[in-house]
Amino acid sequence: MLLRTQVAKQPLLLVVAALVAFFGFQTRNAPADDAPQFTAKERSHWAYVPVVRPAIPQVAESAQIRTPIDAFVLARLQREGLSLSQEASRRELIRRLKFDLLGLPPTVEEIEQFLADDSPGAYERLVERFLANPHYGETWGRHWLDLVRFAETAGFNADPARPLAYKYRDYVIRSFNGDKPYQQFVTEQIAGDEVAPENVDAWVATGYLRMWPDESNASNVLLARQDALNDLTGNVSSVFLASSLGCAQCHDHKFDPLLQDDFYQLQAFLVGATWTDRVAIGTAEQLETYRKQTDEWLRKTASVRRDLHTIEQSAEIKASYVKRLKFPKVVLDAIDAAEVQRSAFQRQLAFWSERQIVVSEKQLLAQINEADKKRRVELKQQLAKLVKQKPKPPASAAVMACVELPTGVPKTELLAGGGYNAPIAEVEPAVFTVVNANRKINVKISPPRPGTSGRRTALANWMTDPVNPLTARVMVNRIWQGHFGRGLVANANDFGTRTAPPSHPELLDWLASEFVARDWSMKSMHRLIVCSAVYRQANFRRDPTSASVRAEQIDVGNRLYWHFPRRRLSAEAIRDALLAVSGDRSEGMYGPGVRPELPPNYSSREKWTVSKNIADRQRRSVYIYSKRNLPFPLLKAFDFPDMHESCARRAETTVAPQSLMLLNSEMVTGYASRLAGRLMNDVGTGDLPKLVDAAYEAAFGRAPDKEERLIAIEFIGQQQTLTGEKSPETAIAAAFGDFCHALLNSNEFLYVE
Amino acid sequence: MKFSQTDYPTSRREFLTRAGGGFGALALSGLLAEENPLAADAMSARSPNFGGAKSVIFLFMDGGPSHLDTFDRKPKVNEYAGKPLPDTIERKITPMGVSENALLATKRKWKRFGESGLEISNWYWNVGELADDLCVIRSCQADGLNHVGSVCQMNTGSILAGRPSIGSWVTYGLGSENRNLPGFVVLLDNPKEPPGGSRVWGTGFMPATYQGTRFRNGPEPILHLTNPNGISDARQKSKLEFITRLNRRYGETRPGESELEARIASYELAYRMQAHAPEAVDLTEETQETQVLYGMNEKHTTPFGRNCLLARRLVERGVRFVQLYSGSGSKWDAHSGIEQNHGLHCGETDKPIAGLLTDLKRRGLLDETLVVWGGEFGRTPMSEKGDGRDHNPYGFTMWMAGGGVRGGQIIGATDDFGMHAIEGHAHVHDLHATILHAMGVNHEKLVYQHQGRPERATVNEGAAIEQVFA
Repeated sequence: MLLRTQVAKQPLLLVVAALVAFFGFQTRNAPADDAPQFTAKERSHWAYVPVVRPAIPQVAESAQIRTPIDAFVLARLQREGLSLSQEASRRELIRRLKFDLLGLPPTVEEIEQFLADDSPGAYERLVERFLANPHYGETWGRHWLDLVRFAETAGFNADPARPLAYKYRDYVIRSFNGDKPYQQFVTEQIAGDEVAPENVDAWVATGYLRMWPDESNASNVLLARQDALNDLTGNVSSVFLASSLGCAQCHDHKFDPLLQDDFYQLQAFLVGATWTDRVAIGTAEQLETYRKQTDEWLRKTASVRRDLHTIEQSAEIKASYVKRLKFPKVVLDAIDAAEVQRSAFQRQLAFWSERQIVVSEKQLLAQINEADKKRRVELKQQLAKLVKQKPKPPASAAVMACVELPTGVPKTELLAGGGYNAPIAEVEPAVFTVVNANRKINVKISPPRPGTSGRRTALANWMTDPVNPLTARVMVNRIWQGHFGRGLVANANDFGTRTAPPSHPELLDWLASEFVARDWSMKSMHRLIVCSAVYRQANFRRDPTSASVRAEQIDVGNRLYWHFPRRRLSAEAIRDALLAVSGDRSEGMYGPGVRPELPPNYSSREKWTVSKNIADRQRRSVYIYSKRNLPFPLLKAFDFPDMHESCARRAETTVAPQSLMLLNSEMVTGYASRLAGRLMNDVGTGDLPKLVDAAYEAAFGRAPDKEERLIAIEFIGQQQTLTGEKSPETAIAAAFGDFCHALLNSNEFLYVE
Repeated sequence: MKFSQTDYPTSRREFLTRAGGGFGALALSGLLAEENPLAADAMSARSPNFGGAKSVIFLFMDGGPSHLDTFDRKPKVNEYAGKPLPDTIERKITPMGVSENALLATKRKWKRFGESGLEISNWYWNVGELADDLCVIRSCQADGLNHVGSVCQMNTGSILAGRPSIGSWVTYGLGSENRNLPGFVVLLDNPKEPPGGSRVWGTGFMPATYQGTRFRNGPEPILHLTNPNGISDARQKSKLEFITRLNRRYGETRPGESELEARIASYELAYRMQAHAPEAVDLTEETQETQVLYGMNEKHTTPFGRNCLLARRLVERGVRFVQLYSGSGSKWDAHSGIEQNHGLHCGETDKPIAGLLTDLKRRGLLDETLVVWGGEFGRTPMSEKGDGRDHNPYGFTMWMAGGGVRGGQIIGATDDFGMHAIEGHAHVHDLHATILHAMGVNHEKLVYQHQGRPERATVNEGAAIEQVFA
């Protein structure tokens, strides 16, 4: 990231700012409306032009076609003289589909049931069953959590807990399970407090606006505030608009037609949010009434509160004298203002500074003279009585949320070189200049309810307007990527000119328009995609044909989808599959993050109190406590994201520590021995071939062939002599445990195709 | 499979296959070629005109060592002791707000060393004996005020988390020369991790292949390196062979799949590491004389001395980047009682560092090993709590030795009070560019494509300080 907020660069920034001030706003860009600064080529970049629904291509050999998707893909393949591969086997399909939609391996019963169902529509029924399963939200919600850099801690040195953050994770899971229209999903996260204050979920959704990493003892509070806003602005543009606007923080984008103005104009939509951990819930009218009543109560109690504040404030200042030294006046003013008096800007500054100068009751009393002490007790008693009359909101909840103040939003400034202390000019909210240059969408800012600016609602409205060229394209591309491992646009977070254009531009646009036409229903997009012939193809290497050999010569990277790609399981799917086959997995959903055991002596720095309840430690990986400074080791080894920046697509590395983890960690050997124990319990140890078959079925979803069975039995025999166990029973149990452990280490377990 | 320990890649293809290969990253060839066309530049970023270091040993004094009491003598500080900085010196934010505090005199004795006559305080007189090998950069600057951001920046270039560490960049750019060990190793002198934890040797947006691997003390340096409890070597080997057999069978019907082959190779490597890593960390192979050279005969110098000796063994075996933390967990952070604090930590490191430089030199390894000393920032001339110093990122000292560095010279200067760098500014980005330069890598050409942006170790800023080598 090009962060120029560094202190050491201040002199330079000030010089730049001075020059700019002297010569007029030369770095300012022309007004958005005529946008002459863009070339025709820039304006016609594929991502910025409106979506036009393309006609479904007519293709020969239409027998392979199940959905319009297939027509688009096949038409492209036929241009190269290629076609789709044959359909995958039912066993492959159920394994693929279940890992894809639910992140878990199919059970033996599920496989048998699916294989036995030869009535028409068996596959489609399976799709429906899986889409209705709550594990769907756990799996696809996790994709979303990667994007928003979800974590349950703030990061930096202290990495303090964000004890309410889990509610946002649960909100995401519920939203996916409920097939919440994407339009609504976006709006709630950007402006839930403005548009649906009666709905606690909408408040929880605004937790999105607070996912930035945060330094608990930031010395430079103005810088910390600007960093948080910049981080948020960059994330909004990457996640919802796939635009690398973060690059434009210091200068106009080097490659894309994005202006530095665009960055700060987008920031201006977001700048009013103040952070709160308790919200009043009610309809707009109820909240307005509540606000008026509260104002009235504040008026009535003003003198008592003022007198109390006067005594306490001067004592607080004395008690925290040393801690206050590092803060400039603007920050101290914010700290010293009574909370109800603070402007939005002061609330933000107090958020970062107040926690650094906490004064205990004892320290406070030490600074108050006897007369004032007495007076303070009286005032507190009076106030306690008055508090009983304090109006109550219709409902309230502890939520990590955002809310604006009726007193208005702080100003947003264009910053020279991105320096928090080098403002050039104030900017107003406005959407991407280049997008509006093509097809203007009027962004009207009006408060959806009293007491809030409506800026974020306006932003959400612009983003979810069907004529916005980016939003629908961006999301259907993410959905496609979830199913195939790669998007039609390779970089799902950047639709700019540095990313290769879409492999199938018409298909992308058709999907985008279909998404809008289907009321932004994500489940209906899944249905469409997983029922396509493209999705149901075999992975060609299972059975190379002359056609596939030729296809590979033409398109080795499978950019054209002439077969289904093999994928390594995600970090979560690996752990969840281990839990599933061992029989350990517990079904619990939601709630604060859980903490399974760490490897011995893993970290002495970070506190990690293992969950008391064993069942909690065996819950799905999406519920593991997301600690920025201590990502869960097994997940981290398999490319769990860093939780600081938006992760558009997981890396798939193959490194030796993964092998060491699966081979030698007690956790994994534990799964293996419990799998072995479970099977021996079910099948008995008398019939070794049957036991081998059961292990294959559990781990791979298929029976071994004759040769595999022989090799397995030979291995188990060999291990028996190596275990050093004296009794034949324990020797065979250990040897069969080794066999199960080997299966869990094998590629067939770790990959899905 | 058999590999020699120090063979160089000869082609781009081989380079891609081997990139970070010390940790078994065969699948990466596909990943890099497909998504990161600029990665190919990593190899061409290496220029014969640049330095000749093959490895880096980065001695990180965690918490911020005082330059004023070690390598940057300022008589004026003692002269003004008890008084604030004169008005002519610009005031800056410091975490504890000490900008108007009285100055704290240094109690050090100073001596000039070697032909170069470098002046070094009596906290580092063992290192002083090697003054003619040191290039002392007195004008370092960083952007962070607090530990976590500053340690993050000294490692990754940014005060905010999310970027790859310099060790990762070096490993990404040059791969490893040892196929049985990680290319980037981190050693701590006590159980506490530095601020930010393992993230400071992480890869941020790069694949995990390039991450630093923390070697733990004791015979099992790498997590999960030994067989599970009660499993004999014969049983483990037999199991591994069976896994390979399963994988080969699976691969037979899927010929030419590099990722599947890579996983087979990663198991083989895991097994080789089980065999080799314990040997690499086995210091009993070292003579008594060598151990004493590193201070391993005294209690207070043993932890860091052991790590210095380990570092030498690792670079000998082709490990690319070794980072050693002294006082990990911000133990150099002398807000109060600097005499006691720095007396302790300088004492713990002086002899081991001198031993390391001497040993590298006599083995002919110093020319190809860049040694870097420093912390995340320096300290203020102003007193804190009467006997400590606050953080100072505005002007502080680091030094480099070996790896083509011209020793016995001083680069840059701070003002009379050691508060601000005033000459030859060396920002963290410049330091990183210089480290890469020593490794023969042009920092502008070492590019990783991320989210549509060409990312560089130096955050697209900075320049190598060529005077270091001239």
